[in-house]
Amino acid sequence: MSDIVRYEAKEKDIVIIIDRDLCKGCDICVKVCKPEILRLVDAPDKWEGAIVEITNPDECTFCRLCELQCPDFAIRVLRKEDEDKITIGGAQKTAAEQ
Amino acid sequence: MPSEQSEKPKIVFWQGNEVVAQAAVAAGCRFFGGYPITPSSEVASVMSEMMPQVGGTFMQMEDEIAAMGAIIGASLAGVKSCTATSGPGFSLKMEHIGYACMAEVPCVVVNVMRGGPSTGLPTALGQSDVMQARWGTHGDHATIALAPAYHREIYLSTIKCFNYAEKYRLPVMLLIDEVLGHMSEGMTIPDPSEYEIVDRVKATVPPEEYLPYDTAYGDVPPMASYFEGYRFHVTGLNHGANGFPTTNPEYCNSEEIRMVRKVMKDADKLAEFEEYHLNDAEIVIFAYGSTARSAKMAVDKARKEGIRAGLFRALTIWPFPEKQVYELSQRAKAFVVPEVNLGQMILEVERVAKREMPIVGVNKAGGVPISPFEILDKIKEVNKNG
Amino acid sequence: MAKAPVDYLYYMRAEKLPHMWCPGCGVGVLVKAIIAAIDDMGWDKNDIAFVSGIGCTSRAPGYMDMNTLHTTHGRALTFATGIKMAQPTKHVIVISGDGDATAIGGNHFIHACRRNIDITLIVNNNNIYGMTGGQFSPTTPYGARAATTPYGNIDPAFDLVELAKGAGATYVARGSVDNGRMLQKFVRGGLNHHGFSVIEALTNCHTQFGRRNKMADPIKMIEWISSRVVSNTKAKKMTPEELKGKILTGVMHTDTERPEYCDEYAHLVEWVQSKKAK
Repeated sequence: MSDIVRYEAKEKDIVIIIDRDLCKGCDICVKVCKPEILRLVDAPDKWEGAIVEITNPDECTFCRLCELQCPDFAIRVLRKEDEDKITIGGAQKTAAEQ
Repeated sequence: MPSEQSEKPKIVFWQGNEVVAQAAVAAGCRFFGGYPITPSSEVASVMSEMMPQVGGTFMQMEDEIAAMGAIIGASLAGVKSCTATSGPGFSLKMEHIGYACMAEVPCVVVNVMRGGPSTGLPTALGQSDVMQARWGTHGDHATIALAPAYHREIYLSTIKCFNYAEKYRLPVMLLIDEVLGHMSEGMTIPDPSEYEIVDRVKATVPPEEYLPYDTAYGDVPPMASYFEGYRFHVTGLNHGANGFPTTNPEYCNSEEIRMVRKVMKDADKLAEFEEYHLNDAEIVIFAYGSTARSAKMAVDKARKEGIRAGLFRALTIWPFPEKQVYELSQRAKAFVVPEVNLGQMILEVERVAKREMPIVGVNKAGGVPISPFEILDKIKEVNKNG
Repeated sequence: MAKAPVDYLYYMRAEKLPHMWCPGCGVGVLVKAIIAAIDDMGWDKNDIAFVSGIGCTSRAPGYMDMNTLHTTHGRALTFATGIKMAQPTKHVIVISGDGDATAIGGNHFIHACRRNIDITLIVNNNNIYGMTGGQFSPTTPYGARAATTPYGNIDPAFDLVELAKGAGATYVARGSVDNGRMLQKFVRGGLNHHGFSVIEALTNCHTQFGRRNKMADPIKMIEWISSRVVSNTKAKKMTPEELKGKILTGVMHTDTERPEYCDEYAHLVEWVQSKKAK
């Protein structure tokens, strides 16, 4: 499974990865982001709730607060070279099914 | 009995409680979690002395429940473990006895029975926990409980309890009582050639293939220990073969049945008993534990008076020796069931006998033993009426 | 070279995700902090036993790819003690909720502290019994509403840090869910400590606590926690009036002098056996 969306910054060495199966749309990441580049959008393909997306990865400051404060292991903020050093995905259900 | 060997067998003069501790060490127990309670405390005292000597762990925990939790933890980490308690402590342990049943963790619980309910008679005899041993923890489960009557038998029974725990993966009960626990009796220490030591069947598959409750191997799944690379999950919730919680009604039902079946299908093998003058017995005394000593003497006295009495002394009280008691019920005229409670195992005798016949108890719950004469009186009474 | 990022899912049974906790639940943040701390310690996951009791928090071990044990209500520390004494070279971590650790498990809690056994206890304190439906716990604030305090709570609350210190724990820290990095640092400190360590994490249960106390969404409740906590370094510069009603966070107590229990027992065994040999 694992519905993974990558947001790669063009100007910066940053890639933000969202696991759409794990996000429960709690809004915490949106609130902790200083440059305000996260937002919740309706996700009718998943459930009646919303799922996070990144509006502009190039404005990311790499503070990684969204990742640290995400209770659902749904966000990774990485240097591009680190992307293949970690496990991404693996969930067998979606948040809605859980 | 001591064998006639060139070397004189060493005679020891131990309290029953010390016998339990010595035998547990011989059985391979290397973790004891205890809590002080009369009349079982000497088991812990001896363990506290012996465990460091053999490189094992003795822990006096903060309460009875903790002691039971600690021995389950130690067993999961691969160490044979036991605890000892009495009356109220046995009640407290029930929560974790149920856990060990559900999670199928081998361990041994020694209960040196005293009078009850509640604090009851802390320093006096009782046999009133036999039903609690069977049904004390909530939920369906099988129970193995041994109730030896002689010190040498306590030694061998203790070892058997460890063996059964390992073989069937469950908490096994050793039920002795205040009289046996505190009475000193001369005995020879059984030679290791007289008993076997059973260890749990370990997991042999690679970790990625391991399922902690895999029934493909039969009713008792092989058991890995923690820190061996298997990284499995254990829970007190109903669980699937992988150890994780499930509420699937069919699966939960089949697992509950399996966990009872793993013991009950071997009930015959587990049934150990002594038959004394049963061949022509018309009146059968059903007895266990220290009361069986009085019962034996009562049989002798009855025989002297021309009454055809016999003794069925159950060592294994759970599973109840159904087959044997049923067979006796088909040829005997009456059962006399002496026990230091108001009538507990007699319920099992009545259940199994399945025939209209006198089944009478000799009961006392005041903390003193039942004398052979009290049993003899009942035998005579039944004989006269029958 | 910068340290590689934490591979959370390596330490988890990723196939069990998404976890069962509510959207925004603080337990997820805490578990993440624990994983990061374990990663920082460089421990082999085969050498870790992760033990819990009963409750929402206690479901955490199920998601961890370690030797995991989900025990009975309040009594995780008893099982953990048995595991640690049986295998003293291995690492034993216990995670517990506030009701689990300090009500039904209160006795086990203080005695594990007293022994100073090398186990790390992490208490997810969300001020409520979440799983059973929002009953008040020993850490529910005075006056707060819960399923069993419809008129407000009259029970005084425990201070977990003082309780742990008083009982003899040798590393005691308190963090809050609004600062995952801080939690990670404190858990790391506890794991690294040789002795009994207690880390209290103030977290949000907006579902059961917040809903009854005008903080039904996670942001509101996390903001409430933020407004109540003050770091102990910052507190030094504050007046008693300013500190009124505040909860201090930080490493609150350390003691490296008191002997650790497994060590003590090992010394005892050594001594007994040397005496026996003579």
